[in-house]
Amino acid sequence: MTDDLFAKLGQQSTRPRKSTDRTQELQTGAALTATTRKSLRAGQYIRRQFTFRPGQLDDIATLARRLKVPQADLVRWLVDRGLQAIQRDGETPESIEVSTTRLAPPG
Amino acid sequence: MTQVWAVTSKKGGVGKTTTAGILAQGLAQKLLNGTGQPAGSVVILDLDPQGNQADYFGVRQHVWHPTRNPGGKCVSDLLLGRVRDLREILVKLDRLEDGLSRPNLYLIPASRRLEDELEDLFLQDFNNARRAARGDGNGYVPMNQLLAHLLEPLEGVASYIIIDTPPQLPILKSAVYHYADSIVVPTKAEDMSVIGCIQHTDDLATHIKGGAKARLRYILPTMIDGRVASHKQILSDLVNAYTMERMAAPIPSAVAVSQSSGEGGRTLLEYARPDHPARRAYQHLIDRVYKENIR
Repeated sequence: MTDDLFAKLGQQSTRPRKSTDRTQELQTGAALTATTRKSLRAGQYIRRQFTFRPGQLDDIATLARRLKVPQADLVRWLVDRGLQAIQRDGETPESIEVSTTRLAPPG
Repeated sequence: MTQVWAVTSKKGGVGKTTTAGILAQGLAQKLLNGTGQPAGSVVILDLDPQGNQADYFGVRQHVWHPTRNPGGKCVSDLLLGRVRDLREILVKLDRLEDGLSRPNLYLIPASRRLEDELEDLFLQDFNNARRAARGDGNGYVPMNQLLAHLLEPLEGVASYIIIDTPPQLPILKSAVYHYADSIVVPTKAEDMSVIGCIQHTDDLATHIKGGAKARLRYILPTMIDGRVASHKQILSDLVNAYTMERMAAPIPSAVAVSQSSGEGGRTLLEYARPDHPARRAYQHLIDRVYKENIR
């Protein structure tokens, strides 16, 4: 004898799940730019210079390549997610303690 | 109402999988009401890419494998929206043909594909969030609401959902904390494990301040040896830190706990004798959880 979980679930109507198709999303911006001959980003961004650790840049480059999105888009999105996490979940930035050891002078 | 419990810890090897499996099975047995007639069902949601819940219950043959079972089931199909009906992903754990009666216990299994596809999940959220930011976010579900959204069909249908988590849950952590009602944190009585436990509960507290629904319900000391003085000291420290109300009965160190799954995919509740100390300790936890009235 089994509980009729499957039967109960079968009584519910199935509802469409959100699409995971990313092709359209990635093509929309490029298509608009090609059509209008004008950068969609003009006036929307401000240039600032920040420094990153080499490993972070490697990770961003690798991930952006894999996700087929521009690195800048990825970085902006990561910043948004980080800010959201602080505001919504109360997460705080991780601090990394770097300890250095001085070599004792010879002799 | 469906009660959702998650077994979480940042430390590996503290007994999360065993605890989640036994807790789920114990609650399912409670729902049999001693008559064998199920009064409700329990679903285990495995979010650990190691997929050991399937091994623990001896149903590995149903789980996705790149060569042996490419058509098998994996929770990543659910998370990435590849299944439209939960029945496509649920595995019945009843193994009556092997003499293991589990009539009201189900598993949403995980496999290593979950680990491989976490980036796809990340990308899905990335694209959906971008659409939402452009005002085209029809149906966008934020990551922290993902589990509640996907498992909504189980609400009121399953009596309990037990979530087994891996030590690191980078993308799904907030989803678990926003979906689960209660959290059980197993910890070994070792300094490093206790430090990990404290870090973990601090992290949970931060999420709760940020609006997560989950509440720390039990600290579960595992693999305790009553003869070891440091274990007694650490148990005492845990009680002081978390209060007695949040402490579950310590699970004694026992060969039977790790040996049971190797014996034909039998759980501790099926393998150890009823008066086995570890089984009795887990039964104590099951009884307390069963008596909880969360909502």
